[in-house]
Amino acid sequence: MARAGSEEQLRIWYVGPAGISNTTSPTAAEINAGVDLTGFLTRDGLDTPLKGNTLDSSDVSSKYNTTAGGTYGGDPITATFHRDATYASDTAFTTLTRGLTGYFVVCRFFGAGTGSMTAGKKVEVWPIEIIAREAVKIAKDETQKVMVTCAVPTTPKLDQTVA
Amino acid sequence: MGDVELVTIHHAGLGRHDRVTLDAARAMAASGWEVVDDLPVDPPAVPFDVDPDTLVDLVHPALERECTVPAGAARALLASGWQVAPADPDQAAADEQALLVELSGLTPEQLAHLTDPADTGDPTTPDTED
Repeated sequence: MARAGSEEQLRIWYVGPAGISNTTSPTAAEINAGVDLTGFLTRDGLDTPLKGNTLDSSDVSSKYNTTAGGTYGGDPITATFHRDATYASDTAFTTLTRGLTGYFVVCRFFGAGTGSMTAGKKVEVWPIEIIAREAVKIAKDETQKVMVTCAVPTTPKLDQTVA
Repeated sequence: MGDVELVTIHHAGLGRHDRVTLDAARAMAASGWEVVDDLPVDPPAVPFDVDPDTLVDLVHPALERECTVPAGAARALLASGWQVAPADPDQAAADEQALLVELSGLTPEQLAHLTDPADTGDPTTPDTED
């Protein structure tokens, strides 16, 4: 057993709209041609909700409220990044503009190091369209941050092996 | 202030290139940097003063892909092997023709007549075919 938190494990890339030809089998080259945003992501900055819904299948023969499986997903995903006071280095803010499409590729257990993506890693591929980019409310003793909210236009792929 | 001459410098230990002024290059020589002007570094293809909503066409030669993204994303992707797509020569020619029509007040046909290499240049001489 090798439990691990997100620090020094999770990696996130933005990949352009034509950057991944097959989301079920993204390649290392495709991901490495994206923008590595790991160094900007706050420690609690990624939220990828994927709730399921139920159908009311109950009838008058029973008092129990039976359910059946319904739709799932559909919630926007959010990511919060640190700003950089130098505009030329403010990569997350300048890259993730409203209306941008493409993919967030998330590797939850990349392992130590900040090297390039390699074949065999497990990743999630989230198709995104940024619908809002907002400054996070300022607070004492906190860095300035930006949060992007994304629609997910097609079904995300959540357990893919990098080719 | 006139243009400041920039030179390309390289640090063998760091494996990095940079562009700095000649005075800076002289000062940095003591730290292991050397001038290597045979390795030019291209300026950023998407300047930082471009409107962030401007769409930029990119190509990735190795992946053989094309995409169009806003300037900010384009700038970031350039560091990962993407390049600004070369301008479409047909579109550039069409744009130039439209500009000439607008500036000259002539029709495209009249302009074509003026720029025809077979034309004698004498507008009074009718074109003839043997």
